Amino acid sequence: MTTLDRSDRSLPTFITLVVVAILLMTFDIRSQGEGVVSVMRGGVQTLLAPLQRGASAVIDPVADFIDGLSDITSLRETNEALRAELAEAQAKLAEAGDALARLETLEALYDLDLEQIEVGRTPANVIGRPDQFDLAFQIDKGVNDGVIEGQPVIDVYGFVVGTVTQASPDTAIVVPIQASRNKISVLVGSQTGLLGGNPGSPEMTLDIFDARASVKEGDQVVTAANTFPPGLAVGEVVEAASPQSTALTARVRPFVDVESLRVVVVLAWPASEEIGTVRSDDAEESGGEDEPATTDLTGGETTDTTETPDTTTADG
Amino acid sequence: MRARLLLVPLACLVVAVILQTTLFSRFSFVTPDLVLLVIILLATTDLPREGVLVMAFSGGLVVDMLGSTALGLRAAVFTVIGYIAVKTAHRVDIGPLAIALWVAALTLAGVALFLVVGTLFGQGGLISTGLGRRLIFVPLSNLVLSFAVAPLMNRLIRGKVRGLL
Repeated sequence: MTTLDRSDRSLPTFITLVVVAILLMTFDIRSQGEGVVSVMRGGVQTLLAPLQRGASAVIDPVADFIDGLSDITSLRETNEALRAELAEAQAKLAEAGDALARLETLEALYDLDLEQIEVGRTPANVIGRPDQFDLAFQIDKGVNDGVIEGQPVIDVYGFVVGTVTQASPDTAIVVPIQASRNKISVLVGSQTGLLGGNPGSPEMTLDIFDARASVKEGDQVVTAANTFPPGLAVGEVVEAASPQSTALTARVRPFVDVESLRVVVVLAWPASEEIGTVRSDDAEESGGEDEPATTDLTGGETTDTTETPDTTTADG
Repeated sequence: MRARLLLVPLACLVVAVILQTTLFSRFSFVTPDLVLLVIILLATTDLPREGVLVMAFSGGLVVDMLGSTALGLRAAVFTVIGYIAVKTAHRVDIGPLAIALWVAALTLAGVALFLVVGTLFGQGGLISTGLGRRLIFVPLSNLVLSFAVAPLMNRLIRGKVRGLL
């Protein structure tokens, strides 16, 4: 009799909970994560963040050690591949040095003053991932650190990772470009296209609608100025493709392996907004940075900002 | 006893969420869905069936809030799996191996349902790289972990060991 009573109550409970869950899903999708849902997410993230930080502090060294052991067999091959890449990069660097010298000469000759775009950076640790099927991850910097929704995220080498989609006071959620529903505007050579995720594949799809030339295997794909600062490396073309009529579709392999990321950098973009605060102690914890810094996107170098010790303000 | 029945499952769920989002997100092959595992195994304890369903819903909702998917997606899926678990738990209460296989089957059902419902609700990004590998390793990891987690949860909730090897 007792069993019958319990099963009788479990069915209405089950139906109620499933209906509530479906209503929540519908509401969340329709409101695009804004309003009450955003507050709820922020609250839970703020509550769990200290526990996740504590767990990460204990777990990361152990997990790194285990990762190291599992990778030890492939280290020799990786080392050889890296040596070859280094030699190739050094040759390209020599070519680039020559081109840069000629550019400086031309700039001086025509009295050009190229606009310098500086973007505030906020280094952050990856502190959590929901599960094996969601590529989004949680970082330990939030609104209090100058991180807001829509800001672009890169890895420590400057490769594009994704965008901040949710920011609570102390944490934020980053969705990688591979998992994003929005395509990003990119450049391949002088051609502009849209790059989007490709469900079920590590590669992304590049669409160029007014294609004038073919793309070759190994062509670099960089961001065009839009939601991301211009000139950030995204990936490379996997297979050559030619225009069909005026449209071209190609496969692109992103440079970043999202699942192995431990530290990322949030960019205060668009640069006109006065955001991107970095505290020196936080930066040291996150990425080994000693002082607040800005990225000089036109020069491709990182410059330390020493005039403003507490904050870094992005300049337009 | 009533407080124990409420607090211990809640604590198990919080620990599962923390370990899931920090520790088990680091590895390529040991990839359990710890929250789903705890929810399934709660059905083998003395927790009332309605309690298991509420825990399943709450656990899914918390993981939803830590990710990028629509709020309520995991809550719905975990509630369905929780319901199947409470309805079938008595059939597998014959030993740890049966429980482990039952856990693996329910995990696989949960993962498949999650992907199907997620895709229907426009969460296409869920089908990420290595889908086949994940579909195999998540249930397998839960199967292996159930040998340790099942007796631990039973011991914590009712002070009695069940499902121990």
